[in-house]
Amino acid sequence: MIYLDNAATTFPKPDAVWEAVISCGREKCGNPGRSGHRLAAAAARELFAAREAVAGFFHIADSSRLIFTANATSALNTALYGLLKEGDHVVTSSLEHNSVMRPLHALRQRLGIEFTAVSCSPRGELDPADVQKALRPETRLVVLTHASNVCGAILPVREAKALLPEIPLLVDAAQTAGVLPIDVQELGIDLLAFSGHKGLFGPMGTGGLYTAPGLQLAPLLQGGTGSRSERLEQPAFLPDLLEAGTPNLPGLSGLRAGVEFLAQQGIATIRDHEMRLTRLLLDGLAGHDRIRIHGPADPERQTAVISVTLDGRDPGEIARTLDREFSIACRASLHCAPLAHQTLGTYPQGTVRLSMSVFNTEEEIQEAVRALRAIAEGNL
Amino acid sequence: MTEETAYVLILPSIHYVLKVEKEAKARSIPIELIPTPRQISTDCGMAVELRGDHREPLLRMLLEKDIPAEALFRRSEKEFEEVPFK
Ligand SMILES: Cc1ncc(COP(=O)(O)O)c(C=O)c1O
Repeated sequence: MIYLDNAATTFPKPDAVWEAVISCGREKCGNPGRSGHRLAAAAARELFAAREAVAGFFHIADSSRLIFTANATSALNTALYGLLKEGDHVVTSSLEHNSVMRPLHALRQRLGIEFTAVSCSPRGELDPADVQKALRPETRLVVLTHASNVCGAILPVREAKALLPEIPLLVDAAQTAGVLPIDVQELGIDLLAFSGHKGLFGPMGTGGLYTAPGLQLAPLLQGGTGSRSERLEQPAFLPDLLEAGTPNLPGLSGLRAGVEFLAQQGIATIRDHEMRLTRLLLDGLAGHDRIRIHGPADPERQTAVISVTLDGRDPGEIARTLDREFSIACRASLHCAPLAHQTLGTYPQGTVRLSMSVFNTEEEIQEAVRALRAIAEGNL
Repeated sequence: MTEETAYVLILPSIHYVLKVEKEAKARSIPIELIPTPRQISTDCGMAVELRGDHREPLLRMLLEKDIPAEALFRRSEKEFEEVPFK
């Protein structure tokens, strides 16, 4: 199989990831921070090591400000529900995933918040000046995806923050963590939400949220932390404030191994490889009169995620043919981001999305090009 | 005699106990993690033990690294007496 659905979740993962999961499960899986015995202490050390490793990866100085979550969705909900209050206004983009848009919609209905989704161009470009223009006196937050999960377009988060230094910036890094260099201080990120199971190569059921000093979120969940148990209030200190309940320790051990793999390879090397594959795919599909590429179509300005349509063909049917006839795994239709498709002009039918990782090879991309061209020719 | 005095530092949770261990190691301040003595009432199952002559650099480290500490106890024989941080 040629796996080109890495934007959904990466596959395969480095062997070290699964080895870490197993060794944690076999040797260290007490409940971290709950009991005093040696297995619980080993678990606490494992959790601490994972937190320090992931915090270091994003240049987070104080690892207690990084909480682990089940995925990016849970991190985004924790940030949005934890920060926003009645009457607040939010500025976001028209390329956001439903894990931003649905909580915003629900908060609008429940709390009366308001939000403005700034339009991006049909190529997926966001002008930071448009973000600034959407500001109101009651704007409490700017939420931007770091890169579109539909077309790969990289959004100018640093430039947006530079124009609006006083408004907290929440970045959805689901598509960029492990793919582009992220330094929370350098980019001016106040809240960073990410998946562990995509570019960071962790197992599913892992993700995280960073909160900058000075920002205090109200917890979405209350419960056991192994600290201050005599009190009914959730502890006010991090990470306990936002981390009630037993964590996915084996998953987080795997996530740490994923991050160590990335550090070993180097993000720059990985990015180079993915840009080469992106260029190969774009060049291979360019110039065919029935193949349309949506988004930047420029490896410098996008991640290794490419959306295509073939004139007159249903994306779902194309993806089925790729799977059945060519053993190519990809994703079709709306990719949980209907507004993004409206922006790109591919609503409601959606697109076929091909997304790569460092484990894909040039031969695999050439095979994908041959397959799509054959389908476009009507040969299948 | 003072360097024979031992102190026990209590932190809000295991995360901070391990943070103290990591930072102390980086500064070559010898400390030991111990199960929290039962005479001290806290939820955190681990505590940091140190010798009296390392108290000053350790307390300075807590300030510099912004590590929230709950309480400091002086140990004599089997007795624990809470003492101020300064
Ligand atoms: C841009 C974006 N945001 C959020 C998510 C949600 O991530 P998760 O599945 O980890 O909750 C995804 C992944 O599907 C995504 O691509």
